[in-house]
Amino acid sequence: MTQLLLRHTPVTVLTTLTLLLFGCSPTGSSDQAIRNYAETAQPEDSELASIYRRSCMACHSRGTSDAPLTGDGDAWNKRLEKGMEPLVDNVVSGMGGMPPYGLCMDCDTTEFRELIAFMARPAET
Amino acid sequence: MERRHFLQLLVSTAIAGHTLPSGAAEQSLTPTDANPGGSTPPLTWRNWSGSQQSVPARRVAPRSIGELQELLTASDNRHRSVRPVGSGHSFSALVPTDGILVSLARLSGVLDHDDARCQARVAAGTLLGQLGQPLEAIDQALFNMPDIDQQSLAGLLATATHGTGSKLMCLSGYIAGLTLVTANGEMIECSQDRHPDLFQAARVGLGCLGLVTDVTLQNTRPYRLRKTTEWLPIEDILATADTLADQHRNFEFYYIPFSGMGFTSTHDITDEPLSATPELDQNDGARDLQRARDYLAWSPRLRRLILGGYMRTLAREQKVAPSWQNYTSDRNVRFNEMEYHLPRENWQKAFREVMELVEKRFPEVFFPFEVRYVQADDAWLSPFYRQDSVSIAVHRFFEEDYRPLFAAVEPIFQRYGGRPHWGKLNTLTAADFPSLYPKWQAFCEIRESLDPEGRFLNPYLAGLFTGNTTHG
Repeated sequence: MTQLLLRHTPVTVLTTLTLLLFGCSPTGSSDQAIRNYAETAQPEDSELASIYRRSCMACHSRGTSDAPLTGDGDAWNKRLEKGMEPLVDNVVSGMGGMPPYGLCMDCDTTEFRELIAFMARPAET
Repeated sequence: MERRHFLQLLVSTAIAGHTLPSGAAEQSLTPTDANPGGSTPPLTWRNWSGSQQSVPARRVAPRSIGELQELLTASDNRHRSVRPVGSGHSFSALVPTDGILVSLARLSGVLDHDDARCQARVAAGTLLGQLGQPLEAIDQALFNMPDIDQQSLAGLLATATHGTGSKLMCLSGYIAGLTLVTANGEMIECSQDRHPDLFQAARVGLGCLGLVTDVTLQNTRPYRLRKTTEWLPIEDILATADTLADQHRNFEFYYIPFSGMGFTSTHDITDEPLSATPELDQNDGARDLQRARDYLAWSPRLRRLILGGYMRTLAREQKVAPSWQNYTSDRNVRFNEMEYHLPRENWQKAFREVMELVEKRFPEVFFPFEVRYVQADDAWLSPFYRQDSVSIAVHRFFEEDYRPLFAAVEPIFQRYGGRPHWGKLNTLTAADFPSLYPKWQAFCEIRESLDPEGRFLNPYLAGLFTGNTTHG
């Protein structure tokens, strides 16, 4: 079946369609230094750090989900291209695997901005 | 070539000479809110899938039980409804409120433990995913876990959340005791010995008896699991499912609609060294199934040929890991879900009817069906109350209208005696539950006695317990 289909399909069309259909998967290609930083970094402010530990860290420090790693400046800059507010809206509504309010049900938008800014700050590698 | 890329190649090849007919895989999209609510308070609350939302007047996360009691007894709050929220993973309308939304997230962690009894008292706001390691540190582990771990302990117990295993109960079955703060701020501890009726009601309490602040879990000693995943024709799976469910500690299977194929997943206790074969990413898999639907819904035969052919090439996967690392996976592709728990003797008939219906009338469906086994328990509002059950779940991508599919399959589940998962979508009303739950009236009486003003009711729950849907 595959051979039959392939024989009748120009390679260029096939390639184009494959790219069109499936695009590029996110690679999450943070280097080891960023991973090391993400595992331990926490906000300096104790209240913010408390929120970060209970709501953000499980996903943003591990690199096992689609969530951008804390300190992965490139990954965060792509998401910040349209500004901070769309990201805050994503946190409020939930996004991908992230539950609504990013798991911080009592946070306000100022705290969300501060947490995003902390996570987006490039790791000192 | 990676297996997943092989599927991509097959799909793109198949459509190369085909122009999509207008209306192919036509979707009736659920309208989305134009205002995400991120900039001006009060903010809109939504659940994970976006199927539920509300604008709470206040959102709070008490730092202590004392703060929680003050919140409930403060004169300013006496007229407001109060709803607890965990991680927002329930699809049903348990949480939405225009009153006070209470998160217990600040009440988190293992509080103390009894080594001889292998029990641990855990703060109710603890996330399931943050429980495995602390329990292991005190030589304990949960008997079972569901397939995601982002839920809060209070939320998953309130809704009788479950994993799979014909000899394993839902998580509420492993509660030895709990503490709740009632509407008037009173703190009550209950167990089999203390306030036993309240205990049986509160083990699956829907967050409407009081706010659960801590739970004593009956655990087991840490164990290692070997997880095996295998792709098979659905008829082979159906022929062996009940046997496999009894042979393995945990057994479940998924059916991929329009493929003729599914995969089984088993867990067994082992002493083997830690190991893992390459795993197919389930989130990538869901996205690929969506693309296959988008481009092949015009030809169910070709869709089945390509998907089924691809799935036959997938290798068996195996992973050996500590139990708490080997039950769950990330779910990054959002969906809405309906799940009913059926008497074990009925599930195959119901499953076949659902499969036939979907493949006849709903070519737009691409999410797998999930089938799990759960042992009976005796919590009054547990859907597994005195009934060994098999759970069948159907899903729709979160941006697509789930209502036509769910409306079509729900009568099948009901006809075979199914009880809905409390946290998942269903259309049952107050009139439906007394015949499904022998202890329904007893639960209602306890709820009325603890919360006569209905402060813990929102419109959905008021409809179930008082018949008044304007509440809340």
